Amino acid sequence: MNEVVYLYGALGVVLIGFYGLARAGHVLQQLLAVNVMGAGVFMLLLALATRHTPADAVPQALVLTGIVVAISTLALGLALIRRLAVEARQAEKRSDQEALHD
Amino acid sequence: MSGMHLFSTLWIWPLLLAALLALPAVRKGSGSLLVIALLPGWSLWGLAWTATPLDWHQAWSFWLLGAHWRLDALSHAWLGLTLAVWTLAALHSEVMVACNRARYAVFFLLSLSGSLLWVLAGDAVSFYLGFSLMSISAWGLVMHEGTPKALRAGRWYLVLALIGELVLFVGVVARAAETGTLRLADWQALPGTDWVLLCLWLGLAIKAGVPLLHVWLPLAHPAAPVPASAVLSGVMIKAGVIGWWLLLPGQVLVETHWPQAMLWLGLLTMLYGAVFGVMQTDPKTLLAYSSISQMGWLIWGLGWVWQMGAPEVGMLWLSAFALHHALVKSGLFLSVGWLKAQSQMPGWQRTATWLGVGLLALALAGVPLSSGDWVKTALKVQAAGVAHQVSGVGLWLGALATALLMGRFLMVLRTLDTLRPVQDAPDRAGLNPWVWLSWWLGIATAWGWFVWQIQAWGVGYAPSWLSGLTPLFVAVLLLWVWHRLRLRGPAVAPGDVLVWYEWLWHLLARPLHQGHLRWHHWQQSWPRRLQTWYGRVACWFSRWHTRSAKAGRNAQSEWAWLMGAMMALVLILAWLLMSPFALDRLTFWVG
Amino acid sequence: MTEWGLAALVVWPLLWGALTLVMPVRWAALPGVLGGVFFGTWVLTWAPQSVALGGWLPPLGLSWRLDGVSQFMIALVAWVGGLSSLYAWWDRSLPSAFWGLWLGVWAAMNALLLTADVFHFYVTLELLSVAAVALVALTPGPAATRAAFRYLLVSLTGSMLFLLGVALLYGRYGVLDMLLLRDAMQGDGITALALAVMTLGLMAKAAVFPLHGWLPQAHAKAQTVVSAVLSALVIKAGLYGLLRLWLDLFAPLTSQPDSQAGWVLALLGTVAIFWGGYQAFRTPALKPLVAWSTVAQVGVLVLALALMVEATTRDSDGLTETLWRGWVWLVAAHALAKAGWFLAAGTVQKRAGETRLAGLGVALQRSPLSVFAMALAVVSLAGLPLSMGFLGKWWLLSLAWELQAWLWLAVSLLGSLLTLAYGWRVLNLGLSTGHGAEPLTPQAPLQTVPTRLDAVALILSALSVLGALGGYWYWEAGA
Repeated sequence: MNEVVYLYGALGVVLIGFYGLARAGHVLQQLLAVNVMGAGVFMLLLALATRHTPADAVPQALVLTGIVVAISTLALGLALIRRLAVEARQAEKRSDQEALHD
Repeated sequence: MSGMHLFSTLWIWPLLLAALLALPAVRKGSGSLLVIALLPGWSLWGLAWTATPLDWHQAWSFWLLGAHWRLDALSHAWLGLTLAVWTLAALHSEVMVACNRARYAVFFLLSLSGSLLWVLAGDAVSFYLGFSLMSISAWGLVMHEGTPKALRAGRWYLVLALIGELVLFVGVVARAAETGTLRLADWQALPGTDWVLLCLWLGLAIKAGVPLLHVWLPLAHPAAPVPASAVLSGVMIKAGVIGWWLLLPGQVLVETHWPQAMLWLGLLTMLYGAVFGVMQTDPKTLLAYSSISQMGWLIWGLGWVWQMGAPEVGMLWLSAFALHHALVKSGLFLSVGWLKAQSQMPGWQRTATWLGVGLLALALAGVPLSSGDWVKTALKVQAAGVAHQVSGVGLWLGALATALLMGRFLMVLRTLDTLRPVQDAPDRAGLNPWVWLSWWLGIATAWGWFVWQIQAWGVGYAPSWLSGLTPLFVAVLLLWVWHRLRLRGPAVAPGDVLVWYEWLWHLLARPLHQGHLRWHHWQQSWPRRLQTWYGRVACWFSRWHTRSAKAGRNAQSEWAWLMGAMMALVLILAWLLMSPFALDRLTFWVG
Repeated sequence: MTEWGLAALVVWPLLWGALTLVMPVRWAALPGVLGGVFFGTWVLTWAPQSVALGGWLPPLGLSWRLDGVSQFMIALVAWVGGLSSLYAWWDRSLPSAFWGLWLGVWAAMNALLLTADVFHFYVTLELLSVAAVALVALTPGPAATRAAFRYLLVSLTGSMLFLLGVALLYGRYGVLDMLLLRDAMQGDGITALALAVMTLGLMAKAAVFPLHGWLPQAHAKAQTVVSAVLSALVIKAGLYGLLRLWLDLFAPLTSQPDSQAGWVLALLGTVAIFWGGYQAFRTPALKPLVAWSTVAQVGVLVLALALMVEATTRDSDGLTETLWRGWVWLVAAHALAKAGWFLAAGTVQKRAGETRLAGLGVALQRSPLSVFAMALAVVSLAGLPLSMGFLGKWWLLSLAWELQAWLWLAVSLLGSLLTLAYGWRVLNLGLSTGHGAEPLTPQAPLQTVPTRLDAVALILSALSVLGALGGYWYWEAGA
């Protein structure tokens, strides 16, 4: 019974991530939504691992690898967001200066 | 057989020369390059001259899907025709093309290469390749002048040529799949599905100038430089008819209505070209209509050739007609160029030029003792056994049409504007008497080649004084009456039905454009409308939209769409993939 | 011996790429590029084989598999990549970070083409995306950053969906190796769901119609070489995955005689052809035009895939030699032509200092080599005679004919016409002499851009035409 809760729960988390990406109003929210999606998939893998006794080791290895990949993509996403913010600020400053000159 | 190597050199050589034009040093001599490009072709033609029986083959298994070339009596005749016209055009390009000569030379060489490729093609892919290379590159020749008129002609030419290519391509692929072979010899013998044959027919019909598909001809011919017009009329439009012969299974079609339909279509084309031709005021447009009318003879000819017991022989006679028309018509087109330059000529040369024009017109009208009369009489004799449905009156009308067109052509020529140096006025014409002489050589060949042919084939010739001269007299009478009474015939814009096509196009384009605007408008405004239409029900839907509008340019609606589309597609795909199986297995791995 | 070669295909570019990150000079990348081309060409002579990495056999270990499809794809990556690198070498406006990222893309592509393990496939897909997104972000400015971020998000979502499919498959069958999976594969709901989510994930990466929104921006805003590499190669990774899934891995499911799912692909491909073509026809700037053309051409490739799937439902031969050879040929024709077109377009834009098509007239007329390159690319993309695209179209039409799929036959022909129509927009500007039309005046003085850049574009486009000469060797001698 527990298994069913976890398995469908995992799919639910993936769907929540989906919904979040659809509704997010901020780039940071979007990035987090994708991570929620990833968490759902990892949860599914771990729930699958518990169906065996002792727990299956392969899904755990997959999740570990997946987390490493997810962290690096998250880092790239954050770097891009930061650059967006910096560039937006620069653009603002430039338009302010132009306004001054005018 | 040393000729074998020439099979491929023949058409690769012009391509190489075209590539050489990338070098600035070569560009200066582009005029002589055009003539040099024809040398391998002439060599092959000459080598094959003495071979009897002529049946050379060469296969390149490594090229594309495997290519096969063959040279027999028929393709030898067509090779000669092709080379003669292209040579005349190449020589005249030197004096009659003024601007952008390097670009002109590139398109000329590409087109020439294609033309030589299909003439020798023994497999469908080679034929298709050559045919397309020729027609698509000819677009560069048609729009060469770059005037609005030339650009419009080029646009119509390209549209129709590409539609023709695509239809032909479908036909070729389908026929290859149907017969399981690419050899044209097999294609001629194997039966086929109707619509496949129709595709092949239609793809080539656009080139052959069948009425209603002919609209590009009267536009392209006057717009193109004179030598290019000569090639268009001399070689390219004939590719349609020889293509029908090569690609369609004549031996099978005998049983059907196809040959009869072709006979009547031929007659219709003869008269159609004449009726709209006499209403033209530009000599080159008039010649284009005359070409349509003459293509009627070839279409009619193919109709009875298919019904003959030995169609190969009939096809040789038809080739003789094609050669006659190719030489005369290219000579006539070039004569327009010479006449435009007549003010720069000494008196005797001007007279001689007019004499040449007259000789050519008479040959086309089929005056007795000319090649035109010989070949038309022979065709009628050959066809007498099979083509009983369209004969006598029909062909007499066809001859009258030709004579009328030629008479009208001469009348129009007199009013030719030679003072204003327009597009194709040769800048150095008259200064190069050798080119002018080559034009005369063409006239002499056009008049005299049949004498040699009579000896070679060992056939007799009785000039048909009565049936040859009566159409001529009637035509002269009609034109005299017309002229005398100062009748103003109705003038029709070049391309006749083209006016309707363009009108139809605008009719269609307007709603398309409006529809586009409406769609654009809808895209911009749908969230607002949604609010008013569906009120509170749609409230949550529009809420995120307004919120995202506040968030700036990072439009969220798009992401909602994207995610929605993803979910929907997952569901559709999974459902479709699953439907063969019981759905309750979804829970399989849970239990 | 060849095991080491296979390893080198991935490790070699990665190693030198890593070195350029430490030592930011382009010379450090040179051995990586040369080695990549060398190994990628050499691979054609190796026998098809499976290799268990580190001696660990599946199901526990990872395995690599080299077969005909991956051989040709690797060689394609090597050649298109090698020539694009040549362009990049001469293009002085690129930051040195380009080389490390580009070699990373190369290594990831090779690994992706070699792997025979679905989870490893996910990892390589993710590596590829990360490197590709970073390449897009090389262009300075907020527009490029935004495009890169969009690309990242769509790509991540796609990866997550793919991983979800992998998890479902593991839950159902307990193995991850493709060969083992295929043998165990059964038609049931979970497998179908897995295929559906994995397909969607790959479609997002390959920009198949409704998921294409990121592509025109990312490809148009990126540096010229980057656009070329992304459009020509990186897109193909997703399509290659679709080929593997639909015709190889899930063959027992997709080749059911009454399976209808292939038509969803065909439909999406069709819409992509028309929508992409329409957008390419009306977009005002040059590089977006080429990018939209990629959307349309992806449609053609997906349509071809759908027809292949349909072919396997008719007879049970599975992925036959003729099928995959035809498809890979089509992919190669597109890759070469698109790389050539993008490079030429970028060069012309650089020369004009302008992106709008309307302002490019003079620059186009002063770049005959680039215009020629674009013309050849259009010829090949539209499938006109004497080009690789022609033979690809020939194969596609024959396939449609055999399946009696008249509608799709018509669709691919109309697609050709559309290609000519939007190609015409560019070529018309380059070829018109200015007779009669309003005289063209440059808005700004032209920049000096070395002609060798045009030449590289021309080589790629010319290959997409002259490649047709290899047709017999590829189709007949190889079969």
